[in-house]
Amino acid sequence: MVLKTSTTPEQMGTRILEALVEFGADPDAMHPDATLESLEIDSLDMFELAQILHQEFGIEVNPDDFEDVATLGDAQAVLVGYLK
Amino acid sequence: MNKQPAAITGVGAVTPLGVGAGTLFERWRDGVCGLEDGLGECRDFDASEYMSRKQVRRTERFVQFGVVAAREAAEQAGWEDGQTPCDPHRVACVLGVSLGGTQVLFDQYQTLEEKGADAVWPLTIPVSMPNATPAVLAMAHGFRGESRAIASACSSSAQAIGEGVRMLRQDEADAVVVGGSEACLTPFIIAAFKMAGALSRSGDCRPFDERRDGFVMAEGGGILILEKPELVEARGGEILGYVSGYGSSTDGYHLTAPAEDGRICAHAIRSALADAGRRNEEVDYVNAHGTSTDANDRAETNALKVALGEHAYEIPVSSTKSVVGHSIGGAGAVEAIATLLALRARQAPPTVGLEFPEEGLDLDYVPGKAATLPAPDGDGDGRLVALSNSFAFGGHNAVLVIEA
Repeated sequence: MVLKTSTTPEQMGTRILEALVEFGADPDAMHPDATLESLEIDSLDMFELAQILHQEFGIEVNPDDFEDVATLGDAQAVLVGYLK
Repeated sequence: MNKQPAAITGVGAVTPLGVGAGTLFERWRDGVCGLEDGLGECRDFDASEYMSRKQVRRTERFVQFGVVAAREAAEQAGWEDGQTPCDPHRVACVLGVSLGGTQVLFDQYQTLEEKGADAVWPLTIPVSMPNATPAVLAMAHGFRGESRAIASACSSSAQAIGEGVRMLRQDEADAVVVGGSEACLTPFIIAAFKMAGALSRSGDCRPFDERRDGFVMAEGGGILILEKPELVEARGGEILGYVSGYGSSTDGYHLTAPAEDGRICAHAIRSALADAGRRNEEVDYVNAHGTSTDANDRAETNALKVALGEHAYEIPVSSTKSVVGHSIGGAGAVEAIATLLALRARQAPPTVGLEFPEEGLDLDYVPGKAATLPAPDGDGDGRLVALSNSFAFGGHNAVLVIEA
């Protein structure tokens, strides 16, 4: 799959939030400083998210990139970074 | 060898008669049938009433039944905030299930065929695995002892209960969460059972009746919390009754049909009674496997006659499946709970739908309405004694002795 170069960071950030809410996260608690633990987002959510980002944006997510990720903002930064 | 009975401190159930163990017993006792259009669906059950959106999304229906039944059981057992009352490492969990999450497997196989491997849902395995219920319950209730699933078709959850009793006796745990559940009312699984010749053609469940023509597939589950009696007393908990014996045998005869003479099933009955230290004459009630198949009901009747002799004619024998159908891996637990509550109420609920017993099927199957169970012997321990039978595809026979 080819990376869709027209994707903007804003589009991808929005899609990430949509997906996490779809997985069951509380939409009212989705702010950048919220920890993934407090949002009950775990590795299974990240596998699902990786599948969506691959299918919709052509991005190959590397699980190793998330070793030091603690907050939602950290996670979004890593994922949006794939666009660069 | 330690033969101590396991104290039952909590029970919970989800069945076609509704959510709750009390609902199951009371509706069955009153002759209410939960079967419609040839199926036993848990129509009143909505997982979102009990679980978060995330939990619902990550669990198949058979797991959801287990979650809700376990919560009811833990509350009744007095487990504060649902958490184990003793060292979590001393609380084990063994649950029966025959097939597990068949719907998600089927759906994702279709996804594979239509969209390719990369489109298969990453949660397919954790959601469908037969051991998902013990895993989810451990996260919810905080226990950290041994946990696993048992798959022996229609005997799965009866064997899980028996295994829990053994764990307590062998001092491998102080408390066990046991039982099981099943939710496989999918077109594929229903067709598979139908083509194996097991399902009722008429859609009616009439155990022991001459018109019976197969079982009615159902869904549901039950959870029991068993504890060492002395530990329950030490924490001031209430003991609802006991699982005092467990016996099991294998026909080794046919992949699906029971041996008609019932002799191997009888061996399981005798083993269970010996395990409980009870004589034939002490049995007050039998909760039959009673599937409404031609072969089971005859073989089970023979087994009771072989095992109990003349006493088999003197006690009520009734089928819970007559009102909730056959929930396969969940059936043994649902029926063990129904048996416990029948003993506590001193009533044997009826075999609903039975009007014309087949010739030779001549035990007291409690047609029509509930029968009153006798008061316990004055010189005994004040308990009534019951058998709960489960006989499975594969020839796996499991019998529990329940007292209250």
